[in-house]
Amino acid sequence: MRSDGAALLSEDPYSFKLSQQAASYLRRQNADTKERINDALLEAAKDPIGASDHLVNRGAERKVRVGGLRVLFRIDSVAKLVLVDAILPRGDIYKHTRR
Amino acid sequence: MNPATTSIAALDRWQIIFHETMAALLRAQEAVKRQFGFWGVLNGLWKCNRDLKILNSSLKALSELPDGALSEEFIKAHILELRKLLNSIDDLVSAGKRHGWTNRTLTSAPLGQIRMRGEYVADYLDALEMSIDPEVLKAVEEGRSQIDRGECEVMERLF
Repeated sequence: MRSDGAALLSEDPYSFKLSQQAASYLRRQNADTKERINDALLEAAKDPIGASDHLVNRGAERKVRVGGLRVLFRIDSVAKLVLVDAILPRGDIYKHTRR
Repeated sequence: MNPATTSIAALDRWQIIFHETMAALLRAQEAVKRQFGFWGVLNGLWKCNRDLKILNSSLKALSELPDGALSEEFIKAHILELRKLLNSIDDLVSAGKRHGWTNRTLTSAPLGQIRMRGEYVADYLDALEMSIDPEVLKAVEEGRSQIDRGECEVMERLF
């Protein structure tokens, strides 16, 4: 469903700045995953506390989980930028709750 | 209230809520495993669900505390507590399934919510572990440096 992402984009003019490593990881994902990451980050940009987790003692670094991936990012609300530092595969925490 | 007082209040509150939730989880597990009867199980599950909801709000408050409010020792101890909590949630949900409580509308609803709240705890625990994981921190540092050096891509959208 592209319409949700497009609607979010039109309401809020956030762009993305991806580190080389994040961009390279993103390129290997399929279109659906990329769109889900896009939507999750835009939602987090609008509502950081509600839609993402803060990394304790790590400044402005935040995390969203998208399927099997964890996206680490910062929000620059002045420049309207989402700075994506890294995209990593999910850890083994979820084995407890996902069966 | 100054930030230090807020942090101490949040930590105290977390300890109380954690122990209450663990107690509720264990009581619910007993009710499910020993087949205390429909109302006993139902009551136990809803109490547990309510406590987990409060606990999740407390976790959110803790996670948004300013840098330095939580020491590394506290984070390590906190991780152990959360793992214990997740195991208890997992045990309860598994026992509920095993004893057929997921087949009844009234009991499957709280069990489903307990599982979802467990996912929230897992998310929080994941963020906490990432905060002290050297490999994650190295990746973040590297990513930040790349952006600072201009080795990055700017996109309007990711797809």
